[in-house]
Amino acid sequence: MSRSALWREPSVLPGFAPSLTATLLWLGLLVVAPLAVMVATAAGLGWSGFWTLVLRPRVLGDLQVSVFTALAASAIDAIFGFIIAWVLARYRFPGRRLVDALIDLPFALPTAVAGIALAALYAPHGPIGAVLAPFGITIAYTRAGIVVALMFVGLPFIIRTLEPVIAELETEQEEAAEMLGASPATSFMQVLLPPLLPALLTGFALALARGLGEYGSVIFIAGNKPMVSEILPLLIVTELEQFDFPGAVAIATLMLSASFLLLIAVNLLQAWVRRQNGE
Amino acid sequence: MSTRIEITGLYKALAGQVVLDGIDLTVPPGELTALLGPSGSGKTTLLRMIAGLDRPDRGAVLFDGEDALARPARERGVGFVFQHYALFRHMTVARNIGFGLAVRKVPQARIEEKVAALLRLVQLEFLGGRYPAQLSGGQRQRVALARALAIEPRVLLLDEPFGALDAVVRRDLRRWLRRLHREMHITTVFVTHDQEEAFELADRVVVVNGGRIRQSGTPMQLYREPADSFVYRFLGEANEVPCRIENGFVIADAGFPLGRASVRTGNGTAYLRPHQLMVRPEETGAWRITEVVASGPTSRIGLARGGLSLEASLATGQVLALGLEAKMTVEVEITGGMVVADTAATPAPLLPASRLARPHLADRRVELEG
Repeated sequence: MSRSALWREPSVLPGFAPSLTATLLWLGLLVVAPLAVMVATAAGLGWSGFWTLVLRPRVLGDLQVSVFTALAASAIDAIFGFIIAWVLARYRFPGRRLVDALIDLPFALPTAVAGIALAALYAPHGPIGAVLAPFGITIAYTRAGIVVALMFVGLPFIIRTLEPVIAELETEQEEAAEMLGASPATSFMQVLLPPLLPALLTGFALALARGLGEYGSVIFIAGNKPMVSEILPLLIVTELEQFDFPGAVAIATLMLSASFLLLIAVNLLQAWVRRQNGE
Repeated sequence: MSTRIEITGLYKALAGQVVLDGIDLTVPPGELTALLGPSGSGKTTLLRMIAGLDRPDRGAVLFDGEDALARPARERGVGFVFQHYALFRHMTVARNIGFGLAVRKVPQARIEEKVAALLRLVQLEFLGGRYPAQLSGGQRQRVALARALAIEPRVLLLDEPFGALDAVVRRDLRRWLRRLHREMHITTVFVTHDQEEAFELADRVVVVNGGRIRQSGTPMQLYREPADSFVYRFLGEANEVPCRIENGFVIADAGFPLGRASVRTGNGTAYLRPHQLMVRPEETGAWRITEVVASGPTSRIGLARGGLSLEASLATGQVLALGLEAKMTVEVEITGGMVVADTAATPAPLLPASRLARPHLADRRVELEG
């Protein structure tokens, strides 16, 4: 392969060099620079200084809360998002456009508004909280509340990534499976799900990333009790408010690494699925 | 061991629109039948009902006398080949073909054996490990067929099996499928809108339009004795000439004789195939050539006389030999055709005016030429 072929494919659009430069510059300025400054600041703490700040029980407990709730919320979103995306892609019904518009609402709504609304709804005297209270179920001010808030903000990611892929899937595939004698369950598991899995994982990864970083909607409904119902981003804010800049930076770096590792894991899983699918 | 399909009174309406309007059809065991019709004629719906993918509002579908409608599609033992193949793109060719066996819990070793045999049958021995995206259209079609055959179906159904392929591949696959059917003798029904395809492949052609069967018979029967003007027009290009019939003579409304027909006096329409018009240069001729379009071995000649426009088709070699070109004055001899009187349900053959003696023989000859 020649050097130029390694660098670019011939294109009718000119300007490969300027557009690549713009891309790298923009990404560098917007994404890499702030992260680099943060990591550099954390590095300034020294190896042992960093670990002392990070290995505090409260930090580890909150990290666990953050990761656990984000994973749980994304997993639940994946299931219900799949169903909603399926209905939207496959069926035509009155009010479909309204439903379609509603899905994007969590994107558009300020997250604090969502948090206040959810807290009001699930609080022990709220419309839903009051119904659940007699059964001993409390959502607001517990981990469950965090999961509910994260489910709210994560849902559109799943639906919007799955919907076009489902729409592309020919209904003939299911019919072919049926003609070959497959039961509906077999059709779903072996014929429908595999081609949708990469998109589902992409949606899951996006929802997870969003969930790990979410702050606004969570703090109103979470109890914010350290190590039980406090998310890590809140701890960062708390430390910043106390002018504990090194502590905040160390936690932020930890979060960055955790998010990064989770996303890499999801991507590897996705690559594996694609290979299984022969793509 | 082949299955007989009997269909009676099949009726289906969708959103107030009648899709199938009382279909009665019997497909004898082992026969290859074509459902031929324009798009929207109901032919695909009919095929899907035999398969169990659609349900009729009324009527019966019997396989060897047993009620097929009582069983879901997956238990009917029908092999179905979809128009766009519907191969499972995340599975290899071998897994696609073996899918129907795998869901039947056939042992893996037996599946592999059978898949290998089917791959040989469809001449794709070395492509078992490929994915559908890596195959050409014709190869995908054969994989779809092998997958349908793997379950040893009682009935094989194909929806526009060659619709998405280019002309050469189509012709080859057609011949190959014909041979395959001769060897396997599975009762087979396929849907097509291409009359050439139907005629070349099928033992019997069923012409469908407007949710009804217009005519069914061997290709030769249909061509020689079309039941109505729809069938006639659908089986080949035709010029339509409004005419009146007077004492057995057919006279175009444009004011000149076309030939004779055994029809009572009245108004009607004459149908002339382009190849039934013989054109020769004649200074005193009554016709004028409006255009000559050479498209490969045959050429289309536009003809006009007294406000009537017809289209003739001649071998290009003949066009060159006669020196035919636009604006030329010519004479046209009508060698055959069909007349439908407004008052009569069945069409009558149009006989050349010149052949007065032994009309039935002349008729035979003309129709065979067609």
